[in-house]
Amino acid sequence: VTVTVEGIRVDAGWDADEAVTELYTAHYRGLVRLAALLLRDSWAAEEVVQDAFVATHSAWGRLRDEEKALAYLRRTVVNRSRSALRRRSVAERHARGDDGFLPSAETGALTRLDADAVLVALRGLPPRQREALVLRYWADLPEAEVAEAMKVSKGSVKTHTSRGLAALRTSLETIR
Amino acid sequence: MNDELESRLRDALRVGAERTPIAGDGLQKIRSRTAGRRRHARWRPTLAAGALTALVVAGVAAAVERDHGDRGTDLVLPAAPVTTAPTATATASPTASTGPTGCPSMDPSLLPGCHVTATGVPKDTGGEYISITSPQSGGVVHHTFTVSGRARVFESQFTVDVSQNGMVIKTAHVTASAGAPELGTWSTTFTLPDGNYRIDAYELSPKGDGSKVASDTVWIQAGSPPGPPQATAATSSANAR
Repeated sequence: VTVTVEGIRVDAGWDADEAVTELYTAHYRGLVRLAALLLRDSWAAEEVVQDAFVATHSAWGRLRDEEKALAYLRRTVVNRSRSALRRRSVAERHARGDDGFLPSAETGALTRLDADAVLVALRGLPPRQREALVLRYWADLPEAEVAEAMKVSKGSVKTHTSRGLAALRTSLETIR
Repeated sequence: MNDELESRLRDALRVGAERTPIAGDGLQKIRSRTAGRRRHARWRPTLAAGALTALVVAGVAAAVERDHGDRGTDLVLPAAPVTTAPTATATASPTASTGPTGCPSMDPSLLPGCHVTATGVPKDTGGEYISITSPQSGGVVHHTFTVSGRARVFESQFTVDVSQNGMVIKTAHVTASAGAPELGTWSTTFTLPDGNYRIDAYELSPKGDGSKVASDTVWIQAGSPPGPPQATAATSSANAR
């Protein structure tokens, strides 16, 4: 049986290898970017996402569905980004300022400067607030899916989001 | 006012996302890792809940690794100055909830002086659960070795840290063969230079406060060939090889 979800062929008969290949094609880059925004470390981001795909490969027997698999991947990426943030190597890279990000060439200098200021402020937020903001404002997920990815209640998502925005505002005003 | 901030945030996140370099070899890396996992697929137990306890008590391990075995033997790390614990074998039940008795405060900085004695695997009370069944605490392992155990954790995912002198030096994100409420099996492989290490398998609380909802810890030595638990002999023969 083959159905189409968001333009992707979902075949109940996929084995784990086929599923991982299809999921990779459709979602790998987006998930790496998600992890990079959570981690502010693009080196670690790919590792985290690859870990999540390996986990999904193992879990495919239970998932058997692209939407479930994507939710699982996202939750795993968020969860593992949290773990990765605790790792010393990440902290050290941050201390060196080497986060592996490419210099931005595609945007104007003003946008870039403002983006840098916002991203620096975002980095200073507590992890939960940063997760809520990235999932909501970059991944454009509805509240319920943010809650699922973060493994918290919808009420907590509201709290983290509003506190995150307030802290961001304060931080940006301080910079000015 | 919030609208403006939200708009700035969206722009900044888009810029940040676009800056992320992405290597082109992700799929190959994933495939190389999943290829190694295929043989584990057949472990996945689909057990009726009622059968779980009996199986655990019987010590039936679905995860059969090369040197799999339940912990429960008194061992002394080679570098440990023998102080209190006997080196004689004392078999503990695999379900016993005894903690490490010879490693006061379980402080990794005590290694290599830490004296490790019988460490039973944590007691499975049916909730979130992680145990390390191999290697045994105090065991001597090859540089590349497999850590395996059982787990009943959310979405079958948890973390295994290797630390030395209080510093985490390696972290593996592990997926058990089944997620809660099923009891799954798991294994992960590390390659470590000579030395004494602490291995922590744990699931963090979803509360995000850093607390652990399930964990198990073993201390091992890497580098010397696995041999009988006579530590001194193992150390001296290591140099000969």
